[in-house]
Amino acid sequence: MDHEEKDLEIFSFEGTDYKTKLTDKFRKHQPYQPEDPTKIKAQIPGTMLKVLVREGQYINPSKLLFILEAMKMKNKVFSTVSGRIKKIHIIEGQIVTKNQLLLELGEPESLLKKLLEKSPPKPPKPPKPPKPVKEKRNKKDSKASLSK
Amino acid sequence: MSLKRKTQEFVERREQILQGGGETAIRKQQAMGKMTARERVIGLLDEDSFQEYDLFAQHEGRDFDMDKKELPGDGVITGTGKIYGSPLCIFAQDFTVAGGSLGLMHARKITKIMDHALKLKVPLIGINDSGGARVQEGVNSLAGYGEIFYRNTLASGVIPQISVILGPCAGGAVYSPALTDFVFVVDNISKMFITGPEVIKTVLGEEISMEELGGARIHSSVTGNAHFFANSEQECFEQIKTLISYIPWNNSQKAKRLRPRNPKNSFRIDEIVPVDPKQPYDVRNVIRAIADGSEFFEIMENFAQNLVIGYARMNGQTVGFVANQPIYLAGVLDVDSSDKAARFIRFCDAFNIPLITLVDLPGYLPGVDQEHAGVIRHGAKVLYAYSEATVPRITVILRKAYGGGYIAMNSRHLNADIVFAWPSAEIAVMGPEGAANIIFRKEITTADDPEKMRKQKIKEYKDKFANPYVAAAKGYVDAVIEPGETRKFLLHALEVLETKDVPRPQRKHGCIPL
Repeated sequence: MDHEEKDLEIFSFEGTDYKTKLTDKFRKHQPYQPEDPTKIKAQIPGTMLKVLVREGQYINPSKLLFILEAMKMKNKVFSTVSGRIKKIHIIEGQIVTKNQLLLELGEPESLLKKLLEKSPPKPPKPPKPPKPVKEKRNKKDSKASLSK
Repeated sequence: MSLKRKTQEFVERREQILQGGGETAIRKQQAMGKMTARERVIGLLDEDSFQEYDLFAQHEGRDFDMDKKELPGDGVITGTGKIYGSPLCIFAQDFTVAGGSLGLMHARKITKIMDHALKLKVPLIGINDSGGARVQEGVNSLAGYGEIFYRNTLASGVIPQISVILGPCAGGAVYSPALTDFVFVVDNISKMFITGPEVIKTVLGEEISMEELGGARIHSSVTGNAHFFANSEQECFEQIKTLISYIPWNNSQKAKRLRPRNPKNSFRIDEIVPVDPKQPYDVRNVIRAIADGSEFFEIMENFAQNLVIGYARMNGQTVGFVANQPIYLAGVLDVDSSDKAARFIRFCDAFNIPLITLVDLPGYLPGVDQEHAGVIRHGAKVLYAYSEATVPRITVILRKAYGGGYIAMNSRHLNADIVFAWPSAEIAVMGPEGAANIIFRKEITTADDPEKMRKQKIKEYKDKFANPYVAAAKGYVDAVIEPGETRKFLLHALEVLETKDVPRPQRKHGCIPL
């Protein structure tokens, strides 16, 4: 036998417990976590050029939040949800890693309340979009676009 | 000038070029723990079998003072040679000459030998050790790469193509190995990536060493880009030679037949496989118990270990084994193992190597990451590759064969030529525990003692389905066999299937889900 009893673990599959070894990749896999729409994270690493909102500010979807330079492009980061900004975790000039938390909105309850206030006839909707950040690649350099 | 003088002059010229990049560069190469390109070619090929081409080739770079530079052989050695008497074409990039950088002439030498290999219908071995494109030659260098990739693709499925990564192989250069059939890497020497650590750091701010990013271990265990991992160049050459011994010269031939040998007595099937499908065992030992001389040449040993692929011989003839490996993840199929199996099956099919599939799996691996990684698309490759293959396809169901996994592993339904099952085979939609919970949910939940009822129902299901006879009654299993007689039955099947001829409809090519 090429394997020793001590290396074996229980691997549950459709109600059956198999004795087996786990591969490194399986061991390293992260449990799935649903995205939190109140936390806006960097989808691409780069340098934060501009922070265009401030804490306490109320924002609506498609509000321009940041300009993040990445892959030699100035990327505009827009909001896809509405809410009041609870905390901004980044300052201009800072290097941003992938999935770094950039901005936190208030609790979902307040979001819901705000939605209700804005459109009273509609039944309450849960705060929806699963994608918190939409990034647009934009050749922002105005000189470059003028010379076209 | 007399012939003798001219010959003398020629010998001097040749000697000059054979030195490659010169003493200093060679010492640098050795300091990195690497052999020189010429040492590699000589070390890999049969003694005195190398015939070099284009030794006197010269680069045509004019810009940036390149016209004043001598680059012996333009940084690559090309030619024909033999391994175990089998002819083949080979090229080896010479890192001591301008860092093995690829300029136009360098590429022309490679494409010439590739064309030659395709014309002769012999395997091609490429030894990669290059800093990348020769920047001074600009777009000519890119043209060179593209022309190599094009030939790699044309040669695919016609001649075996082998890439040996013995140094850096970065940027566009990686795509030639990626297009070939087998990639060999050596610890601490091979480095492969599209963008290196420096670029990643400046663009993304991520810091990583070359070894962690694209070293030999990463490519043989994480990315699946490499098929063979060795600790030294010498060990790597032995692996290449062994591989060459198992595969044919081209797609119209069969691999060389060796003298048949019996398996060793030390591998006894009944001692290797526990009857309880929940208990693990190393399926490679089953292969060794079946194969000639108990020899099994495993491919991608450290990648997706829950599935085993590789070559062995049956009655002296090469066969490809695909086997679920119960000692890892109970032998499930997943994204990586599906890719691994499908690619191997297609190589075997292209090069007339019969396939033997050993089945022992609970199904496809569940999980969000698997689903999101596209296990549907990747899993489909296994079904496609088996269904498409026209070489002899034999299946042995050892124990559990549940659900979609059972169908995928060369089942009768994918038109396997013959499906054997051991008496321990359990062919069902799922394992008894899971099935009982679904079928008898009501009875179990409403029973006075649900746990007792559950056990009873599991037993009921087990008695009915946990065997090969239900499938055999339908003709889905062609024969139930004694485990100890597996080799005998396989040898007979392989012999009978030698004349197999399956016509396929006319088409340019199928559209495998990639």
